[in-house]
Formats: sequence, structure tokens, C-alpha cells
Amino acid sequence: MNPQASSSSSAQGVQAADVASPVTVFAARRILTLNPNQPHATHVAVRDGRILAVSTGEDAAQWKAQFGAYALDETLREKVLMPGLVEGHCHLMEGAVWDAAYVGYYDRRGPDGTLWPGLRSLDAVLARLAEAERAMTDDGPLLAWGFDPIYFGAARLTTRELDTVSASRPIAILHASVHLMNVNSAMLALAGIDEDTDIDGIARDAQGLPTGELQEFAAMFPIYQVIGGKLAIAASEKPHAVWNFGRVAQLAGVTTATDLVNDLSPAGNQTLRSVTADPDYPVRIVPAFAPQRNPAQRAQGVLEAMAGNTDKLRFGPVKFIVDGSIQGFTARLRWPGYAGGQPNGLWLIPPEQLVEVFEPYHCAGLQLHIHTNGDEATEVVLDALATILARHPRPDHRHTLQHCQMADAAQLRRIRALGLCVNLFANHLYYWGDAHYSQTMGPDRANRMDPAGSAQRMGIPYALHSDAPITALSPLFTAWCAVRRETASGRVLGEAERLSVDEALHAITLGAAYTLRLDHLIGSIEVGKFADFAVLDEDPSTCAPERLKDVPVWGTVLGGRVLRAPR
Amino acid sequence: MKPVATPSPMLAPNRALNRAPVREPIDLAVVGGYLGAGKTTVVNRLLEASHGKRIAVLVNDFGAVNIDARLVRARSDDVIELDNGCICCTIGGALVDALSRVAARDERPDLLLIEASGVSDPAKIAQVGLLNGAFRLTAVLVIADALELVHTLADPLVGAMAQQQIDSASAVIVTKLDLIEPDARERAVADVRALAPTDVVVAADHGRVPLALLFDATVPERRALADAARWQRRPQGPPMPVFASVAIAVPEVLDKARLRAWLKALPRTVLRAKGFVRVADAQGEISTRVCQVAARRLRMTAVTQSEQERATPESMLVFVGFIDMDTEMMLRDGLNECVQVAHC
Repeated sequence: MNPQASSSSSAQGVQAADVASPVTVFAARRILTLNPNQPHATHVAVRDGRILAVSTGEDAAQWKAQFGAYALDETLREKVLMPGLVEGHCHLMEGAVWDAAYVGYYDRRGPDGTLWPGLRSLDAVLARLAEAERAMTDDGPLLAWGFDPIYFGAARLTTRELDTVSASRPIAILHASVHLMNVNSAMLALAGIDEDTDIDGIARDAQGLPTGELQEFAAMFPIYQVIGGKLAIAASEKPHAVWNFGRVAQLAGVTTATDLVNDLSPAGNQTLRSVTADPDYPVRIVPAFAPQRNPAQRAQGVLEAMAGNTDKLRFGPVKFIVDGSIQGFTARLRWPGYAGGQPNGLWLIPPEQLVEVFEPYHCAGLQLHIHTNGDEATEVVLDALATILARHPRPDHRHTLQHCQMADAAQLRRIRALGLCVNLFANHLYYWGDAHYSQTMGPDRANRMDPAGSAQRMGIPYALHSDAPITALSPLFTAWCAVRRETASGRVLGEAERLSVDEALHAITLGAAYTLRLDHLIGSIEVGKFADFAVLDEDPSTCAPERLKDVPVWGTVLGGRVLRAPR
Repeated sequence: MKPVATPSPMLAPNRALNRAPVREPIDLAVVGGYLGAGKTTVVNRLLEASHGKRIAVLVNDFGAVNIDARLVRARSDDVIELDNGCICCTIGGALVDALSRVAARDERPDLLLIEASGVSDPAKIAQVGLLNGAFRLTAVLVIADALELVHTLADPLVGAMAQQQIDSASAVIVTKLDLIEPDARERAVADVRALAPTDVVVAADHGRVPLALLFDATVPERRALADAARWQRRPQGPPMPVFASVAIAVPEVLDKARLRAWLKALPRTVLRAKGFVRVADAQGEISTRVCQVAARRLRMTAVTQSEQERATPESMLVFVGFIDMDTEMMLRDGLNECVQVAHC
């Protein structure tokens, strides 16, 4: 079976439906179609959840003769429609973290539409924790997420401060990086961590006593035993997390989103099937199976899952993680390495095993999404893919390098020559751009990070992403990052790599759809595609580029169903 | 015992943690080393050796290595496979889950053997056995391929990582010596020893390794050995001491900080140590502690209920390694240095 061919099977629904299915016509202030033959329109006709016709007012007058009676929906009359936004690299974990209190530095919108203001001081973090503690009705641990001490200079959170929130209830706070946590004295005691604990990753004060800041697996292990599956990346087994994920995506105008590390577990698949089958569930989900999480499943497992694909649940992509993160100094870099001379990063797959690990999935006709942050990781993956593609040529494979933050011009030329796509982590420019400039990469390489402008000029298919929950899920913000390339302090990184607004809007719709092999179904407002729209209060194509991130999202339309975002 | 191969719903986590302290910890050993060094062969030989212990094996790898996992399973019905060495991002992942389930079993294994992936740092996994809980670190065995190690260490992509693996070892096992000239074997082992943080560097015999690396019961007490049996002859170089143990009674109260520093820097010929000691902390408070040393890491914990129930512990430390008379003297002197000086 050719998985690419199978993706057209969802056209069956249209053929099976009666020709007389009702037609709904949506009128809008403006419709950005991303179809160059008809860039703008005011009316779109929808039948069976698909786009039947797109037009300006004059042409639409003839639709009655063409399609018979239709219902005119004027709900969106004052709105601007664009194709439903596509997030090509995020995780369902974004839906699970909202079970815990958000204590991040930047504003973030929760699944119910609540805007949680960023916390600009440690006192504000403690106040939010105290509020969450008071609201608890059981005696379980207090959990929080999104904390990032990088913004507080030398100041650190310790057990002393956290014990003021509660001395008796165990508290654990996951950092934004998800590689560190802070806990209070009660949690340290429960975990058995004291001054005699001889393991790495336990921060200590001058007297050798643990401060409650933990990193590394062994130090965090007892905490995870206490908190169980909470704050875990695998969220597909929890229906409410999948729902919350959908709501967060909907708030951002997203109608298709990935779960880019999926275990492909039977329970998770079942949950995803039943939740996405609910007509009110607001997003199409594309889970990418990660063999590193569940070695027992093979390519065959993906092909079997694909046989049950629906319009709203699309198995198929396969995800591999080759190195770590740049800000965590675990990405693999080529010479001259980290700007501060830190040791090179980690391999999660040995370079010499890449060919044998990727090959069975490539040969099964599946599409690979490969996490490479550092340029050395990108290099060895390019070598491996060159070997595989020489042995088993496959047109239109669309294997995609995910993050691919440090690729230089020569690597981009190889990427183009091998027919690869890239999905660039544009949000990094804003959130960690200052750290990359001054600490991790230095100015030269910080300026060339996430080279969307080069990808555009070279004709490499590309998308932009948030990696939510690592950063906020909001493609318009992500597009703004690629257009402005401004760090949090306002420094511009690599002006030559900036995108135009139109290019960025393409990247968060058709560009991302292409990297998911779904561009025949989503990504533009064209006849035959799903009637998936982002509903906006302003026109992002005409607003000032620096305001792109502030364009208000009213809601979405998914398969012709109007879904107003919760406020 | 049933194999635990597929993830099951998360067990009630608090129960596992709360139950752990009243039960004896499970011995934990990690087998690490670069790809193709022979980790799985060593694990297989350990499983079939006659030690009478119940061993559970956790395989931390994926890809072609799954074939190896089947080999392991052929010799044991107690194999747990889990995700690749993505230890740094095992966010509540399969390793936590698997360890929790082993700890929560009614019938626990005597030893949990974790076969680390070829690119993971065995020390990071091993440290799970250093927290007061269900596991107790006894060994980090790092496998070194006699032919390939020098090339692996010189590889710009993986050399530093391979050295880090060696650096984590309580003992290094040199494999594939049968592929090099007999005259060169002694030299090959010595070359590895020069790179290792320990003098306990032994040759594997078709994957077989001395059981003394893992099990106390197989180690004779040094003083019980006949003089002639205290040394192992070698084709070249001076004879080496054999694996032996020495028990040193410690009736005095020891200074905790000094003891801690000393136990973390034992002579290179010492493989591991354990026992009970009475220590005084910085505030002068005296308590009895269980000590366990492996791979230059110290586990020092309060006495558990079951240990108390068995008997009032005698203050004594037992050391295992290539222990000769000189080493024994060094250990006695070192311990004496840790005795708390009475305040006058």
C-alpha cells in the first residue's frame, strides 16, 4: 500500500454524499485564499465540509442557479478569513500542562481562553503558586510549569521561598525547558534527597544542602514517581488533555496540529479516535510516531494505524530525535562549537546507526521528521539520508528536518538537492535569541539561525513552528518572529533572513501542510479542500508587519462548522 | 515472573514510593559501553551463570538492538525493553514507569541489570541507585572492545562520549581479546586500564566475567585465602591480587564529612564497599548509617526498618576488590583518619 495514495481516500465522503447535500455560503469582509489564481474573495460556499466555490460578491450571485438554494451564514460578515492555520511541530502535552499552574515569564492563554499574564518577578511566581495552593481541594502535590529563571538574573528559587507557599504539601515546578525542576522541602523529603545524596543535578547551597533545584534523570526520578504521569510528554491517553490541546489550538486559529512525539500506544490511539470523532472537537490531529519512545512498534504499526485514518486524525509521519537543544547545550555542533567553550552535546541516536534506524521507515513509504538542532546533527542526518536515497530513490518523499536551527548555506543547498523540507523553530529567535547571541552561538551564528529567508530564496519547502508547550502555540506569533527576527530585548538577528508577511503567512498554512503531506486537503481556500478557516478580526496581510502577532483571532471554521474561540 | 514488555496504565505512584523504604532495596547494576562492544553478550553470560540470583533485565536501546533483546529474552523471562537513551528528556517516560513497576512487584528480583544504550552515559542511569528508595547501586560495568576502543575514542563524533562512558565505570570489561595476538593481550588490557578511573579492568572470556564484579557471595575473604591463592599469575608483568574482600570493624564514631570524602576516593583497586557506620554530622548529632560505595559514588542512608528488625547492625565496612595486604592497610589507615576527634 502506498501511504501517499491512501491520503486521497478521504475524498470518498464527497462521492458517497448525495448531490443535494445542503450548501452553506459564508460571507466575509475579506477572504485571503493563498490561491494565486484568486488571492482574495468575499464568499465561500461549503458542502459536506468541503469548499465548493470561492468568489467575490458579483460571481456569488450566480451560485443559486448553480447549486440551488443555499443557506447564507452572515456570522463572519465583518471578519477576515484565511486558511485554517497549521502547526507542524507541537505536542499534545500542551493540553496536559494546563492541569498544573502556569508560572512562565510570558503571557499565555489557557484552554478556557483565560490570559495568564507573564510573571516578571520571583514574588509574582510565589503569589501565583500560593493562589493555586489555596484553590486545591485535595492533599496531592502542587504542580506548576513554564518557570524560567533565565529572566531573573542571578536570583534563584529555593526551598526557602517555596516552603512559604506550603511547608507540608509537596510542590514541583517544571522549568520551561522541561529539563529542570524546583521543589520544596516536603518534596525533597518525600524523594529522600538530602545533603548526603551523592548524585548529579542537585543544586546545593554553600553549606552543601540541596536548594530544591533539580536536573538530570536520577534527581528528577523520585519526583516523577510521586507525581506519576502528570507533566509527561505522552498525553494522547488522556481525553481531557487532548480536549484542552484542541482548545488552545483553536484560540490561535489553528485547524490542523501535530503531536510530534507519539507513542502509538493502543490506549492513546483509542482516545485520539474517540475524541477527534466528536463533531465539536476543533482540530485535525496529525500524530507522528516516535520509535524511540516505543521500540516494539515498527513501520507496520504506523501503516496499521493509518488504515484507520479519518478526516480529523491522520497517522503517518514518523519522528526521530537525533540531538538535544541549543539552550541546554545538548545540541551537537560542528566546529567551532559552543561560543563559551562548553562541551559538545548529546547523541540520542548514534550517528553510525542512523541509516539502519531510518531505512525501514523510508522503505515502507513513510515520511520521516527528524529533529536536528545543531549543525553537526544536521550534517550526519544529511549523510545518512544521502545514503538511503541513493539506495532506495523515492520521488516526493518530503522527509523533513525539524528545528534545523543551525543549518548553514551549504547545508541548505544539500537539503534542497536531497529534496528535503525544513520546519524552522522561529520562536527561538524571540525567546532565546539574546542567549544565543551572547552565550550559546555568538553573533555570527545567532544571525543565521532558523534561516527562513534562505529557504525561501532557495525554493526549499519550509514551515515555522512553536514546539508547544516549549513555547506558546500561536502561528501568527511564529510568523511575526520570522518576519521581524527580533529577540526579547529587541535585537534583530540576521536581517537577510527575514520573511515578507505574505511568505510567512504561506509558511503557517500551505508550507506546513506540505511538510505533513496534507497540502491537497488543507492550507489554502480552494475548491475541493476542507472548509477550514482561521477567523480574524483584522487582515494580517495589510496590517503593519510588527503587529502581525497582535491580530485578534475570533475563532475558526472546521469542515464548515463555525467554532467561536472561548474568551 | 511475567515479562513486562508493553507499557501498562501508570501504577498508583505514591504506593510504590511509600512501600519502598520498608523493603530491602534491589541491587542495581548498569552495563554500558559503545555500540558493538559486546554488552548483550556479557548480559547473556551473566544470566546463565550459576549465581542462584533472580535477575531482571532492562534493555535501554532500540533499532537493530531489538534483535539482541530477543537473545536476552531467550535466557530470561524477565526482560523489559524501553525507549532509547533519551534520558535527558525522559519526562515521566518509560524508564520511570519501568523502574516503578519493578519496585512495586510483590516478588522482587535480587538484581536489576540495565543494559544502557550505546550512546547513553551509564552513570546517569546508575545514579537512580543512589537515592533512598527501591534501588541500590552495586556496579557500573563498562564494556570496551579491545580492537575498536582506540578508534572509537579518536572519532570526533563519539570519542568524548565513549571516554565519558569509561569514566563512569566501577569496572571495565575488555572484550574480543581472542581476536588479537596472545602476546599483545596483556598490553591491550593495560592500555584500557590507563584510560580507566579504576584498576579493576578485566578480560572477558567469551563474554564471561568474574561474578565478583556483581555478587558478594562469590568473593572470598582475603585472610581466608592461602598465600598462593592470593595472587593471579599473568603472562607478563607482576602477578595481580585476586578478587577478595576485607571486613573492617569500625567501633568509633566517624566524622561524616571526612568519611564521605574518603569513601568517594577509595584506592583504584577497590571495586565496592558497604556496611554500617556510626557517624557524627556537622552539628555533632550521631546516627547509624548504611553505606554503599560503587563507581566512586556513595549512598549513605538511614537504617531501614527491615534492617533494624534483623539485628542491631554491627559497625563494620566490607571492601571488595583486588585487595592485598597493602590495600588493606591503606583502608584501615584511611578509616582511622575519619574517626571523630573528641572535642577537648
